Amino acid sequence: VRLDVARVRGQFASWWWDLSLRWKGLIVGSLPLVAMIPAIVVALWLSTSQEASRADARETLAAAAGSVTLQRHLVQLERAAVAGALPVAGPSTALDEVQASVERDIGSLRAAASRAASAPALASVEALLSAVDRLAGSASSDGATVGPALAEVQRRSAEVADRFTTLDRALASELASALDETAARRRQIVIVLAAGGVLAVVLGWLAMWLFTRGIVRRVQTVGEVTARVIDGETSIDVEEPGGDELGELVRELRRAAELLILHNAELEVSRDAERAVVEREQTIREVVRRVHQAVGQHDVLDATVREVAAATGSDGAFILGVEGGVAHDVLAEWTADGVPGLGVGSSLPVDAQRDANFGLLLQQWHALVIDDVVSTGFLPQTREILGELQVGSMILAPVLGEDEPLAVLVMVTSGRARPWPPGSDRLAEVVAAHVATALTHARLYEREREMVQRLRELDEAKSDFVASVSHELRTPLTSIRGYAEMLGDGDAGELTSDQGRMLEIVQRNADRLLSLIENLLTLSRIESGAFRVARVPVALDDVVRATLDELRPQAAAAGVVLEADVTGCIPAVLGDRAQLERVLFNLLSNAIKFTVDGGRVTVRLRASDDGVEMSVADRGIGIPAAELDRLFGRFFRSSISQQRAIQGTGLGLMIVKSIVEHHEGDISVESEEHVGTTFTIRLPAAPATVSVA
Amino acid sequence: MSGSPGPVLLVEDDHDIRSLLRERLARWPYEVVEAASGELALDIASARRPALVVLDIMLPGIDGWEVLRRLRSDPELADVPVVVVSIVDDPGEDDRPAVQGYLQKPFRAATVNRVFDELLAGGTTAGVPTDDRSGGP
Repeated sequence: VRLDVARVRGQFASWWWDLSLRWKGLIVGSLPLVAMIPAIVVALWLSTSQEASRADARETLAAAAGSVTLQRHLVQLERAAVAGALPVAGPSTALDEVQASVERDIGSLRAAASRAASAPALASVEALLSAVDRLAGSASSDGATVGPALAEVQRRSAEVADRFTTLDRALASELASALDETAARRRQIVIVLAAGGVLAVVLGWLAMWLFTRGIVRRVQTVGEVTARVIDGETSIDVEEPGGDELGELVRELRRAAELLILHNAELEVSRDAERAVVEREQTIREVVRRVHQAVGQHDVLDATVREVAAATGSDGAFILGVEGGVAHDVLAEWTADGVPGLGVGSSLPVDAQRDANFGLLLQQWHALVIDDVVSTGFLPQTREILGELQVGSMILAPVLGEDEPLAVLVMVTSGRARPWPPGSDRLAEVVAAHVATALTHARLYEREREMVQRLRELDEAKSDFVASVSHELRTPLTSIRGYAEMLGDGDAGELTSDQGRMLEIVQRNADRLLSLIENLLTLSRIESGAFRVARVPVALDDVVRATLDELRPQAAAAGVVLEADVTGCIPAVLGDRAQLERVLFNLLSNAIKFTVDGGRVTVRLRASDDGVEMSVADRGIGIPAAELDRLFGRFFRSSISQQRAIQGTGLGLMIVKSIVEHHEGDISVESEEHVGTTFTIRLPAAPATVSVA
Repeated sequence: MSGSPGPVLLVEDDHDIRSLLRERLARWPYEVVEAASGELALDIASARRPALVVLDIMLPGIDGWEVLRRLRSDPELADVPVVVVSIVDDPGEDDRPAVQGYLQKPFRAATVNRVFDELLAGGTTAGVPTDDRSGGP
């Protein structure tokens, strides 16, 4: 039985679960009404029985009323008889009235009597009825019998009256009890209805509470499940949710969650794939970056094999040089510990080089993945090499030059064939492409470097040559000048004026040669970076004086007047007196060269705000404006000086500028064609604390 | 140390310049001993303590700086005055021993005379390098 109860309960539960919320609400809402129904039925039943009691009471009252009417008539009849007013001939009115009253009321009297279960009363009424009949009979026939008949009626009437007095009393008590009963019924109805109402309210509230609580719980569960789904929980296990709308909602939610999980999983998979792609690209970029960091060809190739092996987990990586479509030697290799290599620089056996299959592979313009070298149709010789290297799997990527493979990048696994990580072929291809670029660049770079090295050596050789030639030239010049000077001094006897003039020409040209040599020497020092200037205080007015003295013969020969314009106190500058003299010497000899006979060259020296300003101005041929910016360059010769065949090496101004700059000064030029040129040099003053040595 | 003043030791590998300097030195009453190499110069110097060494730098074999160093490291010769005569205008690094005169080739007679005057009259030029560029920069 218990099992049955349980089963019933289960059945109910499942029925209830599957019931739609609308029906559940209807049921729960109508539960108070259902609870009221018994109360209403009981109340109706109670009110029906109350109605019966009320009818009894009404009947009793009617009987009592009938009895009273009858007695009144009887009293009238008696009173008439007693008064002798009862007519002898023919039935009197009173009698008729009695008779009619008896006939009219007899029913209710009978009913009352019968209801009161009073047989004597009924018998008395019947007796009275027959006595009245007889009185009526005697009244119509003769008067003799009226008296006895009336007496009979009177007796019977008294009897009935007695009987009904008794009956009335009984009826009265019956009525009272009927009324009591009615009141009691009414109270019962009120109680039943009140109890039913309370029960309905309680029941309704309870049902509503239970129902609401159930719904709230399930809604909460739905909320929690939703939250878990949102939080990304992958397994949503909720109890069977039932067949109502909420259950439907939970089911939909569960389906949505499953879809979401499925979608997430797919998303994760695609994200993984994407990440893998990104990682792969990163790896490629990293490998390429490292490969590009290497500069020399060997570095590039070594970096490539090392990085590409590390990125793909290869046990070995090689770059084989390709010439004429065959791989013939090992340019670079990297092998893991314990994995045999070929040896950089070694040549592949000729048979392997000629392996048509291998050659065919090299002619591919994309990477080839060979998962198992054994099943690839290499010639036995090739296979032998691969066997020696214990190669299992292999990737070959061509390093393509402009129109043919330069090399081939080979990645191998050692021992058993094993699959390559996804994207290895792409990595190999991209890296190989970059290797091609890097290789081309490296080759160019190496060629360039060799060329630069050769040029540098050449330049150094030239500088050395210039320096040594300059030095070597000084030695004979020492003798030339020395002996010329001795001749001039008369050490070998007095000279004639012609001899003196000729000797002066020799000396002037020796000086010119020396100046040239000095310029060349300075240039070679400047270019080799060995040029240095002393830093001692130098009085520039002394420099001006000495240089002018030195150049006077030259100026005189050219018919040019040299003048100095030195005004005020000229501060000393920190520098190299000999070099500063050379600056002025170069500027002045230029000015003399480019000034026509009878012209004038002025050296102007002034103190400036923060140093000294020295200028050399001529009224010479000037320099074309277009050439001014090349003026201080090496070997510059103005077009005019070339036209007029004015001698010069084109080194003087470059040296001047360099020396001035080594003194932390600057030089500028203003020139106008056919008007003249002014060079202005500004040099910082020496600190006030030092004095001219 | 002998009581009489030693000779002037002229160390120069170029014959013409050597002759030229000898001609210049003829103005002072000193014997001039010539050496065309550093080794020979050192041999002569250790044999006869010179009153002055006129020293070229670019020499066959050991160069002038090395000769100078060896002279300075010899206690007998450490204080012999030395005039460097060189085509190199750079007196060299700081660790080189001080010299009493410096003539840069090509030199002018006036400069040579001044330097020799100072040294051969008994004094020195206090080691200040005296180069000569009056013939041109």
